[in-house]
Amino acid sequence: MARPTRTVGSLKKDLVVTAFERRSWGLQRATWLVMLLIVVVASIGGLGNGHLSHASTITPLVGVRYDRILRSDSPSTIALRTVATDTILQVELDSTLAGVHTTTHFSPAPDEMSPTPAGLVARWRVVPGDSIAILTTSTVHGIGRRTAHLRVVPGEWIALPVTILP
Amino acid sequence: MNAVLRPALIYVVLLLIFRLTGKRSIGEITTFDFLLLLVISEALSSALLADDHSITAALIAAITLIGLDVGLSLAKRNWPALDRVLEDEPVVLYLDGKLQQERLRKERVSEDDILEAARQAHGIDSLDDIRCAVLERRGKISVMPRRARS
Repeated sequence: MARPTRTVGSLKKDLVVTAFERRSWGLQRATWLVMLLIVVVASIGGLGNGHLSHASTITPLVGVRYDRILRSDSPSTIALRTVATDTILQVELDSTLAGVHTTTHFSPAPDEMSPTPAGLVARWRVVPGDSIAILTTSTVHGIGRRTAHLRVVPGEWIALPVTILP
Repeated sequence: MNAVLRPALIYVVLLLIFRLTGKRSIGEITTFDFLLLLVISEALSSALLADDHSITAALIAAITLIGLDVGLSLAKRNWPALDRVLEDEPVVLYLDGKLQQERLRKERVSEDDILEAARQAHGIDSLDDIRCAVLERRGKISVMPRRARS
């Protein structure tokens, strides 16, 4: 039996929806769902810079708040909170952290900062017993999973596992 | 979150601006309109993603904008009132020998624009040969000739 057709202008239009059309529409709707999923995941920080990406590590000497999901070529912050035990507060970032986070700025600015083969060392003159909050802002580079480390001397190294997206 | 919220906010504000400034803003684009769009996109590009230069953020922004567009088209289909608010209605500019002067003035369309559309669509060069001219929702002028072309 011939398929029903109608003429629109110079075109002969098939009146029966073809399997190809149905597949295309199905694929289109699946794409919409994937897009919606990406937007929802991104909104809650699943792709960095949001609630899901925030992480914190607390030791007896220091509390660290950072993002475990980062995006390459985007800014990132690490917040440190500690209590000064000496007149000099020394924070050390290992080479992974210093390599991933470039052009690091500390707030407040350190009295002394020096790159070392092992990473980066920053020192502040402080009053023993004072509560100190330090914020580092930097641009992230690289892609993949890394485990960076930092420590507030004389404490232990704290591991900061991060995933860096393109 | 900013990679989603910033593009969404910019999309909504631009939608309002283009809707409120009238059909011709994007309907019939001139060289000056094109330059204006280039300058607008340049001005907004930094606000779209701030200092986040990652591929992920750019893709999230693009997906957010396309998603909003798809969502809005679905919403307009389901709610005709929303379609009317966002897309406006066609406006009759010329009917049976009478130019609708107030509409021409309000829509910033001239008699020359109608004739230009008539020439392009039907090769007509006189208003006398036009039965009706309509400014469509997307800013294009449709012309219905008084008699069929020979």
